[in-house]
Amino acid sequence: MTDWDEGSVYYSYQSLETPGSSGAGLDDGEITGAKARMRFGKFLLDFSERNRYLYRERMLNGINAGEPSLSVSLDHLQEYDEQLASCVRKNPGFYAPILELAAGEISVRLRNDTDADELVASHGDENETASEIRRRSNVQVVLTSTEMPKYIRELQASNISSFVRVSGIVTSASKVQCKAVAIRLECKNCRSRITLRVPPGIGGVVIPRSCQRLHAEGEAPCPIDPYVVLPDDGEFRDQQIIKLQELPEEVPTGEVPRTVMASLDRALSGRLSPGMRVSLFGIYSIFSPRERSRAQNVGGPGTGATRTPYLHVLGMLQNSDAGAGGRSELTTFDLEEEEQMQRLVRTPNLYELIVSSIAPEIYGFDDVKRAVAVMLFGGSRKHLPDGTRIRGDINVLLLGDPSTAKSQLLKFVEKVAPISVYTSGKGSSAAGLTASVIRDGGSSGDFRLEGGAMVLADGGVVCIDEFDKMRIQDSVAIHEAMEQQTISIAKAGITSVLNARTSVLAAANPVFGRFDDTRSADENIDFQTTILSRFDLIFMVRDTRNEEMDYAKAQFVLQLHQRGGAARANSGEGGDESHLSLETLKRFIAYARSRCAPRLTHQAAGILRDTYVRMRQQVRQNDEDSVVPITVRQLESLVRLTEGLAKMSLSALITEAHVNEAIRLFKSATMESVAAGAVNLDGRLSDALKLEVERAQEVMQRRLPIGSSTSKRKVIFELKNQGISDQSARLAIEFMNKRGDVELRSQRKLIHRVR
Amino acid sequence: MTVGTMRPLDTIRARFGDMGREVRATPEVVDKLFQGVVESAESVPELSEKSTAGDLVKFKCFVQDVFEQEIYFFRYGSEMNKTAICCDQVADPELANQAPSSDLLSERLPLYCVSIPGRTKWSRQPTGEQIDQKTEQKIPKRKFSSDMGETHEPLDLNKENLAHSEEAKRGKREDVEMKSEQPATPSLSLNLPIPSELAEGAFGVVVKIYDNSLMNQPLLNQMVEVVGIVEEGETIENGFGGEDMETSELGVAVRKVHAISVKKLNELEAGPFAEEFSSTELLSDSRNQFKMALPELRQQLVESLRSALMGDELAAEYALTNLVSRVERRTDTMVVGKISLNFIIPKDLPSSKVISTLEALCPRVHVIPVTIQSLNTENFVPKKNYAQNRLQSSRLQLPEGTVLVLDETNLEPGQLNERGLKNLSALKEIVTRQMLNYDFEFYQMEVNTNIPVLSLSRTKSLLPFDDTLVCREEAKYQPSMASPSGDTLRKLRLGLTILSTPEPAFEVPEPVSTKIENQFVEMRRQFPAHVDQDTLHRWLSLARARARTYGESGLTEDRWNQVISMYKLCKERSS
Repeated sequence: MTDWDEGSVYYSYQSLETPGSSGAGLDDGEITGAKARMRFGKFLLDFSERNRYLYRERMLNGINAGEPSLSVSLDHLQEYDEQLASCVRKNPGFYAPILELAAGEISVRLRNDTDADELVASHGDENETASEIRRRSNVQVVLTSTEMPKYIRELQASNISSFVRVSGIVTSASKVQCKAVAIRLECKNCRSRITLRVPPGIGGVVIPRSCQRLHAEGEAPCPIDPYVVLPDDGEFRDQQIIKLQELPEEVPTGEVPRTVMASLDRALSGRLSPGMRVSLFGIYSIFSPRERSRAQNVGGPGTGATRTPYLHVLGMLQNSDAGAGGRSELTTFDLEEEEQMQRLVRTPNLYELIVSSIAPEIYGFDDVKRAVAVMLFGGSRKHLPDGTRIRGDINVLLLGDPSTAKSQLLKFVEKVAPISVYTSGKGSSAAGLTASVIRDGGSSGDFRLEGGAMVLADGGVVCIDEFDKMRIQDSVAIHEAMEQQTISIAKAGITSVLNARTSVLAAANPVFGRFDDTRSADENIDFQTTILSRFDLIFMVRDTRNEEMDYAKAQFVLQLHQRGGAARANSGEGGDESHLSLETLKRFIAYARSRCAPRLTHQAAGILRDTYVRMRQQVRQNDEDSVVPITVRQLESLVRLTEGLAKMSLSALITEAHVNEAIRLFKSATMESVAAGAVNLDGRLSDALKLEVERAQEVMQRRLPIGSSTSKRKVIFELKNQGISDQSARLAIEFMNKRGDVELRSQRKLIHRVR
Repeated sequence: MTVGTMRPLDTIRARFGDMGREVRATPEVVDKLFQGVVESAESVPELSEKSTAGDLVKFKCFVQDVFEQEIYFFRYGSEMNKTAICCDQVADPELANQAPSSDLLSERLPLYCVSIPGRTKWSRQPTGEQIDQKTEQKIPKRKFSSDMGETHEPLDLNKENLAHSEEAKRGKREDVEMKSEQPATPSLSLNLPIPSELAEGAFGVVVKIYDNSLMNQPLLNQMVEVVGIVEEGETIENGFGGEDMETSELGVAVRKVHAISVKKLNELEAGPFAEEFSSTELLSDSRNQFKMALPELRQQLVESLRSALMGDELAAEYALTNLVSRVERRTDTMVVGKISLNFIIPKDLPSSKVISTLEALCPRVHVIPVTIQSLNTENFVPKKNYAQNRLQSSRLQLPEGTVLVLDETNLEPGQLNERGLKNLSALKEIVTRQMLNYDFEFYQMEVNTNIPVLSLSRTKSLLPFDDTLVCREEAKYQPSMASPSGDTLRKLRLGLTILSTPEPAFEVPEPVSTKIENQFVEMRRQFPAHVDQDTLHRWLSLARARARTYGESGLTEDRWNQVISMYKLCKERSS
């Protein structure tokens, strides 16, 4: 009886159960309602984390702000009072109202109402006390926890009336309606009134068909169906019904996503709209749909034997980011998975294993696959003290001949990345790559924002095929999206900034569909330097012919067609020695991304610094050649790559090995592209050429009036007459094009002078 | 027939009564309740209009949609000796008063099934025997008329005619196939993948399954045989929110059947020759028997295809290869075994001639006329209708092995709208990856398909087919036989069915694979622009299907050489 000594007990708990629930159905080990109420109150006042009374503060803040809901983590309760927490999990329908009552009680006390004692004193009737508490302070307890969500398709009859967490995407949300908690009825005949309490959730209540007043002997009974509802005397709360559909990543291939209905009340209502991803906590309950729709329709063949399940929501978790929120389920791992991941980390040669698991159907392209692997793991986002941030996402561009399996690689990445969107530069949805304002169909005609591929892939990878064929409005917006990782939109009165924290994996073809060796590199690639410099790694994927590789490819395809290769392809079951299954890899990526934030060691930082300086020195020394530009942006890229590599091995520190590999990758990708002349990051040329090109530009500026158009061939011909070589002429045109002095029109055949 | 099959529900209830009051709804218990209710599927009558509530029936169907799980009272009553299994409605006051609790309840999964779509006329016959009878479809065997009886049908037809004439007034309609469909109508009607089949006696049934292990298996787009108990009540509803639809509004009754056993069917079992191969031994027996007759049979198949293609032998060989090709395996990014084919046919060859030949030979064929109008107005992509909480079907929701013919011969230049583009990309997905993205509004769900695609066009198709062949009239060609009929036709159909059934193994022996490797490397040296990894992949698919047309389960050097020369001929023609 220690509780008596604490001074926290003001009234006796002997008969204080709510009617109808008084201990009924309580198994051994369960606590009575009164005890639970007391213990939860104690938890609220007492629970502290890092020397702060978390809930006490929250409640005080809530009282001051008029906030009617209190978010309680079941994990905290578990920590504090294990028995109570497990009771709540087992029988939430019974305990949830008690918790609210307790919270209300505490809230009244914290408010220091002068008549708090009166309330306490009136311990005669529990019901009165409860309704008094409710009247004064109606606190809604919102329960959350970090447990693993259940799949909607896993919910079964055995889960009914227990506490579950499910994740999904909201497919429809009703208007917020008033749902009666208690209705007051009056008999038409004798004016006697009764109150009916309506169970929470979706279910309704049956209005008695005859007057319930005890009639005196000999008195004429009241007629049948005597009751009318007195709406003014009822007690109502907001309620919203939503439908939650399984997340696409949780639906087994080729099956129809399942849906569950959910009812949200009070503070939880009105917060969700279709398309949002959310994690809901609540009681898996049932209601009888026929009761609602067929109530009038008596005379059917019988009583409905079926019930429709729904979730009576007690709490939700939702990421406030546009469209793509609520994906915490991606980063929750149960014990088994955790062990599996840890085992995986200990495999020797993990890096090579992961790389060989990237698109195993595609032969060769090892460095491209390495780059893709690093991209999937990603670097760390850095927030600078001034509020700006440096992106951690790695962008990769694959430039190359057609039929070099670029699209296949992109498709693979779409499948393996925990969050991903595959799109074509041409864009299939109206929202395009970035975002657009859409007028809602139907009656409302409201404008709303629709996020495009980059917004939907927030926190993941966006795979853009045919990057070179992007729409103009997208190519403007993508500059911002790729470096600042936001998309600003100002249209139709809506101005907004959406997050687009995505890695970009882009594939593009050369201008003429295939690398044309006879033309200069600039002509082959039709990108602005500004976009190119936003890619950390640029690969030239060329269909090179090599007998040895051809043999290997042939063997590879043959194996695919033979039954013997079944184990290899049937990657659903854990994969084999040589590579991980897609599912394992996907989980491992999510695991590494959520668990690991590597830091540079001193040595590693030293190497990076030295490399950077050496490269810069090279730049200064041999000014003659077309040298590789190394700017701060490239240094940032290198850092990101090292971080990605370290994450892959779940290592907390970035070691020299990581740095060396990153530098090697960087050199093999971007530098080789630069060396091949495909990508001219700052347009450095040899001096002789430079002079000639400058002269060509001068001539062009003189000869081409602003606003005029001439055919390109003619210009080159004229320049030739001035003694300027073909190559310089083309280069000059390219430069002027990139500077925006001229525009190339009609498939680059016409030159239009802009300024 | 036992007592059990006559009053199956009573049997189940009686058994339940014997089980005692503590019994839980475990899979074993449900199994025990159902065991022996069906003694043998043969004795169970087919579902028909005469089937009434409580009858045990069987039927084959195609799972068009999987509805939301339902919770029902497994036990109830004061004695806990009653069950609501296999019932939606029970006239029992005890049930009405029963308080729900999780140990009394269990779940079942309703499926929406329709008659197997795409079946050609002859294969719709219960036995594959009578074929060329013109009278066959006058009174469709499985057409249900609702309680209103005979008056209903003519009424319906009138409505349809009315609609037709109205549409005719609006003009523009050109295709008979499309008459019965207006896209995006608010009512989903029976939700048949091929709406025109309604006139041919297609049906829809809500099947409720109890088998937990089955519920967790992929069911969508499967062909199944259901044995179950019919229940009264004619509404389609999908859990909550979906508006219930009285089936009288649909014009055709939709039955509710509580499944006692559900068997997934493969292509063969669902086809018209199912009875002949009721066991695997029978299949392998007939395979062996068939091997003797094969060379001749194959020749006849090629001949009949050839006569439809103006005597073009290469085209006939390609066509046969295409008809027997099936997706054998999928890897993360590749599909092994599928072949999609584009025939560029001469101006004077009507596409209908080719199509009718295919329809005479294959058990399931579906023809989609690809025109600007059909692309712009129809919906090829199954879409979730959230208002009714059902999956709105489309022409491309087809069971495996259905031959999809894209008739592009009437395609003319024009403007595609957004829907047209979507439809086109849906077709593209099927042609290139045998996969279709179902539209769930908030996201897309990839659903694998397994339907060989043959396109007929006048010029090169819009879609990226694996192989494109220019068909040519062979002037000297004399049809070697009159169009097959009766027994010959039956044999050809049987033959094609057997050839299309995948054999478990496919071997490429060592010497052949070495040869292939060498040849590939050599070809790559010669034609670097045309030959790559993908080409080899296609050749192998072709070789595999071709070997299959000979009933072989391995690749021989001969077949490989044939395929390469076929490919070369094909390339020559198109250049």
